[in-house]
Amino acid sequence: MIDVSEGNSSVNLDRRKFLFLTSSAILFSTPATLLITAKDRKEIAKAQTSSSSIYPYIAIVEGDPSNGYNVLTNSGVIFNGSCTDGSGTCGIYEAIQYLQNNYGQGEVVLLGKFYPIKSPITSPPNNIEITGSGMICINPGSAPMFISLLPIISNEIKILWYTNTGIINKILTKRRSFSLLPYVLFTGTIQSLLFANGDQALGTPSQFTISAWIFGKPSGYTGYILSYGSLEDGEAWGIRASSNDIIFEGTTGSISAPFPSNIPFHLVVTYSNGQAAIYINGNQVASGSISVNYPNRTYLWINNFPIHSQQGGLNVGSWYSIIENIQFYTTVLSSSQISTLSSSIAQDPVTILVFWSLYRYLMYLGDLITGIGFQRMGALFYGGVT
Amino acid sequence: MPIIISDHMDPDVDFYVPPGSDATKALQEALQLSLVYGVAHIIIRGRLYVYASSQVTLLLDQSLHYIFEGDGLGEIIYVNPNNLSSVPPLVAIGSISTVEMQYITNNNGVANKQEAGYSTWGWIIAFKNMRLINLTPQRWVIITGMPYHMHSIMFYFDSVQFFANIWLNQTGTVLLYNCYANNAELLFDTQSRELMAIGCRFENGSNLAISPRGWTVVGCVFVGTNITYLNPGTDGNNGSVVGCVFDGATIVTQGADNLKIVATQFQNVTFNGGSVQLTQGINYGIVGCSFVNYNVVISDLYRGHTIFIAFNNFDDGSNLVILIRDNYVVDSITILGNLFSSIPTHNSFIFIAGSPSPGQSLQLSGTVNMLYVAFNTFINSSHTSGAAYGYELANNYRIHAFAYINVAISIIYAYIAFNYFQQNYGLYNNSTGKPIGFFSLQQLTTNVKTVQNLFFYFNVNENNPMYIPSSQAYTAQFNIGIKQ
Repeated sequence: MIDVSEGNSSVNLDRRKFLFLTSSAILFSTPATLLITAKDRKEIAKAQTSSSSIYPYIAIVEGDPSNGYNVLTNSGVIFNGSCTDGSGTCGIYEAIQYLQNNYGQGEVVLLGKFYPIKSPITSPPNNIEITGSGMICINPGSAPMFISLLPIISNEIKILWYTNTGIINKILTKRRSFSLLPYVLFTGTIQSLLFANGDQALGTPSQFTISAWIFGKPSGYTGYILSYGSLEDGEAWGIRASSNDIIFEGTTGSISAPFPSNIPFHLVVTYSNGQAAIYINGNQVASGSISVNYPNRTYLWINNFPIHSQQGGLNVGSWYSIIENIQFYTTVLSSSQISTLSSSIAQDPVTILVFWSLYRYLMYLGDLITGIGFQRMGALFYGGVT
Repeated sequence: MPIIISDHMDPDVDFYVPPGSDATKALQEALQLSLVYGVAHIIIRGRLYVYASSQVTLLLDQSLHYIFEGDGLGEIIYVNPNNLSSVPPLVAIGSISTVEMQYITNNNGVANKQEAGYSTWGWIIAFKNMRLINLTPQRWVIITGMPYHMHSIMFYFDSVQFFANIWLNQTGTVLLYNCYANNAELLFDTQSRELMAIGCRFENGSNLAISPRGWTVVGCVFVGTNITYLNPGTDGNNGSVVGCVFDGATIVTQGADNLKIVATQFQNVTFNGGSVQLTQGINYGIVGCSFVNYNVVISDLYRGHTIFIAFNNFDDGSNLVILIRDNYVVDSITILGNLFSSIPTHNSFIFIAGSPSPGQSLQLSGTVNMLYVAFNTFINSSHTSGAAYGYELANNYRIHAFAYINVAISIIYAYIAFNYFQQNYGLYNNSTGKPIGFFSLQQLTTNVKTVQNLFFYFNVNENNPMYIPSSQAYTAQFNIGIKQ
């Protein structure tokens, strides 16, 4: 008999009794016995406050990072280990597999805190529900699986980011705001987002690193990808794709490299006291001297910066272009850090940064560090979340 | 999915604010969370108190559309429990992107530069089903404005109860729909455009003050003593008042041009003291309205053009008074197809006289070039005898109620035609005791000349006298009851 502690909202099951059961000789000695009785199951379901499951079979996944994880089934414990073991899902995928393979259906009950790191599946399995009162902390590796599983994960389960960078978990605590696909699509060269956080949105750093993933093509006009400046006071720096080149220009001077033949690609620009470099897909492709002077009003523009052309953005890659996972550091990142950033389109920040706009996995139309949104209700600006 | 802020602990509430505590943090975090959706659709359930601080609580920058919506009816009460001496408004707006668009290039243009700088491309700020209450010393609960005099802000107030004042400047479209104002001032001020007030009620000293050029007030109710008013301001030009009801309230202008008042009811039924006071503007048109015990005073006219009064009824103490500024000219006055229905002590006559120049005493030296009075009906509906009263001008001058039509200003051309001057049934002038006539010219100062061309055609006059100076010549043809 498994008691239910209704007064505990974070872990409904009495953990002491549960752990006793999962580690007891009784469990291991009676693998063929249906350990979780129908009555127990009802108790669990009742504790979960969600609507009762339609499935008669359950597998319980419980644990935490320090004690490890167990998958408890009517066949006994089928998984015991850490989140890096097995499928890299803290046993959750193993529980799904067990129910699918044995019954073709069932309910996975999560109790505890989970840090999955991989995505062995990226579409919801049939006839499986995930319930319980656990917390799943996903990272870029596990996001594809758990975002795709959202339709079968009950609302009682919290899904947060594995590390509390900026305001990410503040947002996710209130809303499951996930998307597997990027949700900011620029459908032409005229659209842009403008980030204003005071008059100098990103400060006036003497060294910085910009990282972003680009899906688009060079423009016949200015082809701005990212720029820092204002229409009123001019440009501090800009990254453009024009004449089949990637160009990083300062207030004076510029460096350039051939536009990559394959899109999307990862782009990094570093700048340190007059010395700049461009990295494509983790490799340095250009370097040189430029100067950056900051005007009084300086905002970060994403895509079009209509200072020389109203159609000053990147050409579309297909029917749209994407400039995503934009990260801005006020330091110069090491080549290994840059390499890490180029490893995945949703790669997390590698150190402390001052601006981060992700666009996929977490839907948020603004800076995830400060929580400040884009100014975008002017003419030619981006019109809203698509 | 809207974000719900409530003082009730319902399961769907995103931000619970215990009753009486400060909702500032919840509102600000709700705005931050709204970036998930790109629109701030914030449901206010119950009553929220916002404590005034040194900062504006809700700075609505151009990153989101904003819809603040009450659940049924939500209340925001702006309070000052910390007794701050300087309280900012509750709501203000940012304008960075609009400012930036002022400097957009013309090259490879897809949008006209002026349009780009003018438009906010559909930026919406809406309040729905809300009651806004201000208990702080700050006069305005909302203050908004744009730099560069752009007429860009769109506001939608739908079913909002104002127990608080708002002051919006540089507006684009502003819609007040089904709103209620109680002792509240709704001011749409500098460089504003395109206001619409539809189906709203203003009472208990409320006022709707309008400076936009291009506005309309449709189907609204203004009720209360004469401190409840509709006030098209100095530059509140090109406005229409259509199908409204005034009871004890006032329309008072400060120079709004091209004001049209159409099919509106003015009746002192529940309250007294209501009036229509239009001043300094041009091209006023009052058409198809009903005035019951409501004076219409159009004064200090000095910029030419016209005044057009047609198809109205002036009943039971509703005089039509038109005053021209000294030394200035009005091109024409047309009074057409109205009913002027008097009863003893509550006469409804026409008075055309003068206003002093600012800072001067009254000279009555203004001029009307062309006066048409046609197709009107003048009656004493009571059929009983009684006094009629004149109108007090500046500097103790008084234009007397000698006739249905009383003139104390110089007129170049006057056509009085196709009118019916019913017998006065014993109405008499209060000061002289003389019976009411059908026309009088009163030379209250030597500046009032005789009418240079005075014509009476096709009128019917039932034995009412005419009071004109002996030097006044006129032409009368095809009339009944007027000597040629």
